[in-house]
Amino acid sequence: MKRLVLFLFILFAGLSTQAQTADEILAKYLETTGGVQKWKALKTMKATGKMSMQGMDLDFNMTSKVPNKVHMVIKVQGQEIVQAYDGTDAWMLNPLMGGKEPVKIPEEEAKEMTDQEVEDEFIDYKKKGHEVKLLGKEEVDGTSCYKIELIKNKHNDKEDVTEIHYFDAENFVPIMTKSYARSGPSKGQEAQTYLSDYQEVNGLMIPFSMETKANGQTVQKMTFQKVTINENVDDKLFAFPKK
Amino acid sequence: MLCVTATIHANAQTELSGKALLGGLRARSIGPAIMSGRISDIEVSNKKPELIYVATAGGGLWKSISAGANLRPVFDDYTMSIGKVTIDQNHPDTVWVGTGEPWVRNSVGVGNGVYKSVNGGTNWEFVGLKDSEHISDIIVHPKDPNTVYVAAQGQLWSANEERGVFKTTDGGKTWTKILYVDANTGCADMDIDPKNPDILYAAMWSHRRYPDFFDSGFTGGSGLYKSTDGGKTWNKIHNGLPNTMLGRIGIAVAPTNAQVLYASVEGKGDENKGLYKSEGAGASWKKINSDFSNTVRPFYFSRLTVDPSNEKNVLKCAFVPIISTDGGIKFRQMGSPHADVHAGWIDPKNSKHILLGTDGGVYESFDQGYTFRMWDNLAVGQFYHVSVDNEKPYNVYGGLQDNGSWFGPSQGAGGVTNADWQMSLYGDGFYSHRHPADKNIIYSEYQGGEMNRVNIKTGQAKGIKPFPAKGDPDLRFNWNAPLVQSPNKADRIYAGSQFLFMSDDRGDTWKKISPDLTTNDPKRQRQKQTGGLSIDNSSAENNTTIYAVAESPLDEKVIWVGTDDGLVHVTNNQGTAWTNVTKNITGLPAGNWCSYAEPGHHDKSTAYITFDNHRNGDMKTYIYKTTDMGATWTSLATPEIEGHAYVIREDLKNPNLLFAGTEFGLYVSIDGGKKWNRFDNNLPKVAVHDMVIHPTEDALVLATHGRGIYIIDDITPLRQVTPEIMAKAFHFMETKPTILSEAGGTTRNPSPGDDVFYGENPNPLPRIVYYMNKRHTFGKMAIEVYDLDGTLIKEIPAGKSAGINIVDLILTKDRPRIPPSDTREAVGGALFGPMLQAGTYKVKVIKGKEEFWGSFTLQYPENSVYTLAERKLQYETTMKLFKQAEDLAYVYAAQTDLLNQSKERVQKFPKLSKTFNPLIKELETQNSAIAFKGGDFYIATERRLTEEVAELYGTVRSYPGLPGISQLERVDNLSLKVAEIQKTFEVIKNVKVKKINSAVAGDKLVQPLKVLSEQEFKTGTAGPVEPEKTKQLLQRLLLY
Repeated sequence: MKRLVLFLFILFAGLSTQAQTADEILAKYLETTGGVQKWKALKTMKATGKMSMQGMDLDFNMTSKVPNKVHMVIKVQGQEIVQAYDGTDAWMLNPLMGGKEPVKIPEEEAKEMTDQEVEDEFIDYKKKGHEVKLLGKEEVDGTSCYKIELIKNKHNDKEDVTEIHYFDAENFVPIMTKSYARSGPSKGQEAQTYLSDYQEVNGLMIPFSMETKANGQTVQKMTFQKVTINENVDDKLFAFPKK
Repeated sequence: MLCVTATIHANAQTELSGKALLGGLRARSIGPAIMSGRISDIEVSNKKPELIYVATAGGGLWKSISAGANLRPVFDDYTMSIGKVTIDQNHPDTVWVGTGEPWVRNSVGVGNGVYKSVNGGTNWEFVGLKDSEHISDIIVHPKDPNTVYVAAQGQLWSANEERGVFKTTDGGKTWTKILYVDANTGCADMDIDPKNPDILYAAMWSHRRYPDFFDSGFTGGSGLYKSTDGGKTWNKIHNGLPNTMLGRIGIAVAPTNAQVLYASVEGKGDENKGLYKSEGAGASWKKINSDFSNTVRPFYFSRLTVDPSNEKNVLKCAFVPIISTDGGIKFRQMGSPHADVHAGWIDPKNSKHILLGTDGGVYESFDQGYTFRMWDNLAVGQFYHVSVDNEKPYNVYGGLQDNGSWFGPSQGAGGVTNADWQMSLYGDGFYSHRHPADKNIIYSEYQGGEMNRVNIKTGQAKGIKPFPAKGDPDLRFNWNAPLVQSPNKADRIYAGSQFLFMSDDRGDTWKKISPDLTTNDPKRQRQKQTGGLSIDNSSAENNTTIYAVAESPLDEKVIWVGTDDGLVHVTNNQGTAWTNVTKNITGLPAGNWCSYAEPGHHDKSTAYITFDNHRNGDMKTYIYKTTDMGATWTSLATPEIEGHAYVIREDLKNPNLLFAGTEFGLYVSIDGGKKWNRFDNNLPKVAVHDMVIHPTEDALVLATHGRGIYIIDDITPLRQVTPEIMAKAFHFMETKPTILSEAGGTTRNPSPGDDVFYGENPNPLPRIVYYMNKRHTFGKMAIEVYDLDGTLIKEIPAGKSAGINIVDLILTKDRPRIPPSDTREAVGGALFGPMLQAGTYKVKVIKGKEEFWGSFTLQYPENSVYTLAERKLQYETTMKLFKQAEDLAYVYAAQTDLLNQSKERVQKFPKLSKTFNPLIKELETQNSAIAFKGGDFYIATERRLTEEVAELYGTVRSYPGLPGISQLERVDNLSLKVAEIQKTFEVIKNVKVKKINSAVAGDKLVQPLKVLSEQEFKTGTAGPVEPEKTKQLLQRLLLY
């Protein structure tokens, strides 16, 4: 779940807009988000909200825990569709598809979920084996942005994942991210996720609204209603349920 | 303390670029894919044969990872004219693209160099040869992925030096020109020795196009060259080739025998054209075949494909493609693909499996070319012109390169399919439009002024072209000759040769209303000799002709005429006298092709003219405006516009809103042409040759030359933009009422497979449009939609962009809650909420602490088949069933809650089981009467009350007219059943629960039972999910 990572953000008056290199922009982004230390203190996050896609509205509950555990429940009339990843297995439970027992999701189809870390990918990106490149400035949503290409895992053994992040040149928060489908018939197809409604949660700034578009058309909107962080979350929540 | 506010930098005034204004609007493609379009190259991965790239003449690069079941454009941000695509066969994710088609017909597009992708086309990097304009071949060294050879054909319309063979040894960072003849001679084909990659062959071609002439072979030095040292040195290998001037040559080495070479050679004289073969790696040549397909039109068809597994199988691209299985001695014609074949591929593992790239798309054979299947899912048609009618929904008309004239609907059931399109005339198609009043009449034409009036009732076409009057010279018609409708008189049409003709009886009688309006320069009338070494008199080089004709919509006597040799005339007395206004246009190079004339829609002295000088090697944009009948002109071309201009349109409502089409896309100006911005939201950088604004639908319909028809459905927001609005922080724009469509659920085959093309339908949702001068990034922003009675229907996310935001709203209320049934009947029936009724709905945009009120209006269609009274009863009935469903949902939830409480107490205090068990049993029985649980949502299910109610709800809500009498009776019967359920629940609640609570009241450890209130129930939300869509939905979630 992209962008469930948190954006810690403190705004100082007279923030410099002279950033030149990718590292300077990212440093600004991290520095003005309260610093890496506070960022690293993030252990868990719980979010509730609504998403809409193809004219359907759905309520969801999502829980994530460092380093990469995630659990998501979509509530349907007292029934629950669940998908989760515990660091080893990605699994789902979907009674509407006739599934009465949880099933594991094939690796290929779970890639997007299993690769996602809770910690912001820009923190210690070099250590993580990622590569970052400033591609210049570009307008997004009528707003001047720094365009930063992130090639995840470029310098490690995992599969490369390319994303392009657009940081508002005034405020240094990302307002759009381009990503590319990693499996299936539309592999390589670009999608843009627009981030907005940044709100403060216990000193962290979180985008409460995310809209994903492909070919200029909205395919999904997601709005958080409530976000809490660093509550205790038992690892059991994420694990593939044993019979 | 963290300091974050929603108004950060709110005072910072940023000047918005026009891009943000356009950002909210989106173009949709309606195809068509039925006739597809010209293919320039096909490349297939040897390692993964399902991975296929299709390069097109004007529609960009397409990728399939399913052997054609599904194709996706992967090059839409760049020039759409593609010459060559080459996969690094050792690393299939590495792909090289040479832009600029090498099949350089009169209408060919323009390339700008070589691009490379290392991730299968997801991202591209420009790697050089910007001025090469046309690329015919790219070869990746089989052992060194960083060594690549590029055959640059070079500029078509002028001499230039960036042509010949180029080599990189560092993956494209630097290039060395390793073979160059002169500024008129480029490289038209290459091949490499399959065993020894140091051995290369290159076919150098002297060629040039002029507006009025094509020269293959006359200027410069064509020749066939060989290098044995990786391109350091080259030698001509002409031993046995005709000892004449040479034109275009195609060269192919047999992959299984490096000694065997085939060459299709254009020499001077018929006896010197044909297929040549060398069995000594080029040491000598022998002519082995001169069948028509081995000699015809070398500039357009020269490519040879030798079977990778059999040196004797040779495929020759041609007007009609041919194949030999005896080493080139005898050929047979291949099946029935579209004519004009440019690319051929033979499967290395199966000689019978062949792909062809034609003027009409990709064709695939599995029997070595006896029969073919067309890939009819590739919408790359090259339209020259477009028009619309006033049907509802309106139809679109236009003619295409080598694909005749077609018409089809702007929308259809489930989308616009191939079957929706009909062909009105054959040949190459150009102007095509319907008679404004007679829906059976379509005017269409084919190349060189062959004008026809088609009656679609009979399907018969009547030739209506004008003829020279006695004593008049032969008529000269352009390849793309004007056949233009009068905006003022339904029966009036115009035809342009060197004279302008007018007919007031649909083309049966023509009146010549002008003298020769061209330069009539005999030096530009060489069409009979055109072609160079091979005569190519197709009418494509007809010149000194009228090209642009337009009657003023405000005055039928005012007519503008532009010619392909640079003259513009106007009359204000229907042709009695003509004024040549060309000299009044300052800065216009002489002989500049007038590509379009657009008389003003608001002032009859105003007109706009575009010129297209690319045929003289000048790719600049020329757009002019006059407000005084041509006495003075202002240039509207600005540096924001890229490419030579084909068309300009003035908006029908706002004269400051202009649209221009060029070789590189659509450009929009909202200030009368002072500033322009490219429109790129779902519209590729494709050549826009014509466009029309629909007068009542407010849609802009584009004729693209490579990607078919695109439509921007509602341009009304752009009409409203003013400097005053742009200074405001927030401004609501007017929106048109949304018509509640009565298009029903009739559809096509719901499981047609993945290779069926669907053109996109317009968005049916109502919308609000607002302008913001700054993006909303911090703090909450949302939109509340209110019902006609003022109650809140729902909150939806807002648009946050600076500029114009178009936010889709809703056509239905929330769906009813239903008890948790495990059946399709219940879940499917209650999938959608009740339809909103016609009326004006209020919306509130909440932006931080600010609120802005707007509205949207829904209307029933004119001439609806349903009366208001019928609709009222339908709505009331729907709402009755809605309430039944919700009542059941509440009772079920409350009973389930009681059940859980009771079981919990029994578990804790087993001694209480006697007290609780009867209640538990009753609740279970009651719930099982309400809804069926334990099913699989498919086949193992039963029907209970919820299933009955939800299913009928779905049936009644989806039909906007009168419910049936039996349905109404059924609603009443179900009402009684629901009431019984409620009654039983009331007894449980008011009697049985109370009784138990008093029974346990003495025990402080036992909590009394608490009944869930209706209020508590309603705060929990979420309706059912359509099971069929759930998998897709979960995939989307994963993609997030």
